[in-house]
Amino acid sequence: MNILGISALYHDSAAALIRDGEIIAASQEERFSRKKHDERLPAGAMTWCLEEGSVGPDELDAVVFFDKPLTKLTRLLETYSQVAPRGLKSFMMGVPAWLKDKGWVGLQIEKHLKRTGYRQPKKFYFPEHHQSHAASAFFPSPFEEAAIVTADGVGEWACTTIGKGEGNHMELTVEGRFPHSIGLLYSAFTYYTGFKVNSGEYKLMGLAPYGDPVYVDRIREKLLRVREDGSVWLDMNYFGFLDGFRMTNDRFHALFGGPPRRPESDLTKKEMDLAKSIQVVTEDIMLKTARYARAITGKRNLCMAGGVALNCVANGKILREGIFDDVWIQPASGDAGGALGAALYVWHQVLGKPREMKNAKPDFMKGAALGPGFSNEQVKAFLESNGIPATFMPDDQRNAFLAEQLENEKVVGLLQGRCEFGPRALGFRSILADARSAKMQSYLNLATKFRESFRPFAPICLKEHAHEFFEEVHDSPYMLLVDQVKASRCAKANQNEANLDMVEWVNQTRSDVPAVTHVDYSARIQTVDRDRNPRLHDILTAFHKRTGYPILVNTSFNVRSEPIVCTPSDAYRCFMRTGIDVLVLENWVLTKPQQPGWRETKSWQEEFGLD
Amino acid sequence: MLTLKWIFRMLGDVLRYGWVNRSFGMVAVIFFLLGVALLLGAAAASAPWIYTLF
Repeated sequence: MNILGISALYHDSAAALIRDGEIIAASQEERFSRKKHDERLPAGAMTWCLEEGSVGPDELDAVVFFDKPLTKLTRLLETYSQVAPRGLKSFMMGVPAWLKDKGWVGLQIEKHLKRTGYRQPKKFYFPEHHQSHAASAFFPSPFEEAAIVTADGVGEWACTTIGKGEGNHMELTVEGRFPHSIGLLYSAFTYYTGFKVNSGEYKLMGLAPYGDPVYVDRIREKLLRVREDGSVWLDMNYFGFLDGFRMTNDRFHALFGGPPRRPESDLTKKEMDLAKSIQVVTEDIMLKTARYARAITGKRNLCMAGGVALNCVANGKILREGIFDDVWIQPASGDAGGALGAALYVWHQVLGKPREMKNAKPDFMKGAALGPGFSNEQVKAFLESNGIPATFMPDDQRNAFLAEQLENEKVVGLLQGRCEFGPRALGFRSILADARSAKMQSYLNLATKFRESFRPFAPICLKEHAHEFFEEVHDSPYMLLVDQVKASRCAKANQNEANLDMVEWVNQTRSDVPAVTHVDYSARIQTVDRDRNPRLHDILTAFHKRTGYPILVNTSFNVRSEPIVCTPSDAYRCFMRTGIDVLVLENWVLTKPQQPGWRETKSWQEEFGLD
Repeated sequence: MLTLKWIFRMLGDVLRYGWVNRSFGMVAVIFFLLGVALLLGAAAASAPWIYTLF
């Protein structure tokens, strides 16, 4: 039975195909359209998923959209009725958009299927937004039973849910409702500190270690109440999202001493302190929520999804607190993962099909490598048709060559296997570099990725050696947990660090792996095991053999604001535009000096804008 | 045909929503908005020049 899950029309639209409960394919639309966080109907992803699964014209059994558009409309109408006559402008934009597009998403999907030669699916489902998130958290997890926590901006009405999953059944029993949302609170600070909502939240998280939590009391006293069960109440007198297009209003700005930071202007200590303060508040809320989930469900394991579950600092704290024996987080925790969750929800929850727990280790996500992949033959055809010089190397030779290049502080762009599903590059579309290099963070940010100098980089580490580098987190396959670098590896901080220029501050050597050690000695860890990613494991092993270090920098293969590369063509363009020295396309290896000149028709900034 | 199918499904969903939630005022508001939208849509499709008046 083929089930197509779809998420769309808000941000990060995606499609996922499951067959008899097995995940066959999943991808965000942005990988095809090359528009970051693309929210449009995922026409490219839908078509690709069906082709990848070799689904015939009359073999599509069900389509599932990841939320209930009608219930969202009722939320819009009820909200406007409460704030009227304020909010007329946003009403005049929001409601027509629903009546024109969002309300007819089923029709749009069926029209697209018809255009591409598919007959009408036999069934069309609309589960709730947080049911989709919860299903994406529990059903692909390795747990037979677990507590479930979902948290994001808002679904239909729910912003946070708590429930439990047992076998092939899940139940959400507690719900925090709009507008009292931890996700929207975090987004309000994202907006106020000059980053883009629904995209810049991870930048705010990365900025937090530079600041001090000086605004925590003010946030707790004025903006919200947090109960012991983790539920929040926001004082809407400070927020603008009920009746306007802004997340915050003048009262919020007065509370924090001025208007929002202008995007791309210099970051000051104030933004850093705000980032740290809201991070502390968020962690407190998530810890309370996790404790309450443990208390009411009695389960020993936790599954999480929703945009807030991408806050890997909070995730790491939940794990280290020992509230649960183990924590599993959906790698595509944002709305994209809703497509997968929606499909799994119908298979297990609606149709009552069992989970095959004998296949549950390490989990059902296949390492999140669920997107498009390219064979060596396809790469060769691309290279030949474009006259691009490259060398074919069998795996062992290639890995030894890469280890040597990385040791010499060369930057490697890596395309191998299928694209990752979710926002993180996990070694299938990654840029790799030597974590021991003191200059690497700054070099990668400014010369390769063209992004803000404060942004940290994450390490990939052989799982069997993770305990040598990190204090407590020794299994983090999807880069969703933050932990401290082992104290024995850390160097003492310069006393006057806070007075340094940002670039100098970033470049201080804090450990023997400085490129992946953040200013607070933390690291967002990805552990690599043979089950999920054997070829990346081999590269790390070759580097380990050569240098004694089983660890590298891993960052997404793109420039700022660009979706992660998908095809060999995307990868080659990014390689030629940036400071990447070596490009690996499966077993084909390209070096920069070998390449003909690159004539740029337009800059990446023009092509992708700023995020 | 496909459009008609989804119009009827929408109408059914709105009525079901109102019944389940005992929210008949909301049903009336949604029907009013849908009516306006359909009117505008029909005007745009049948005589595009009318649409320019809006």
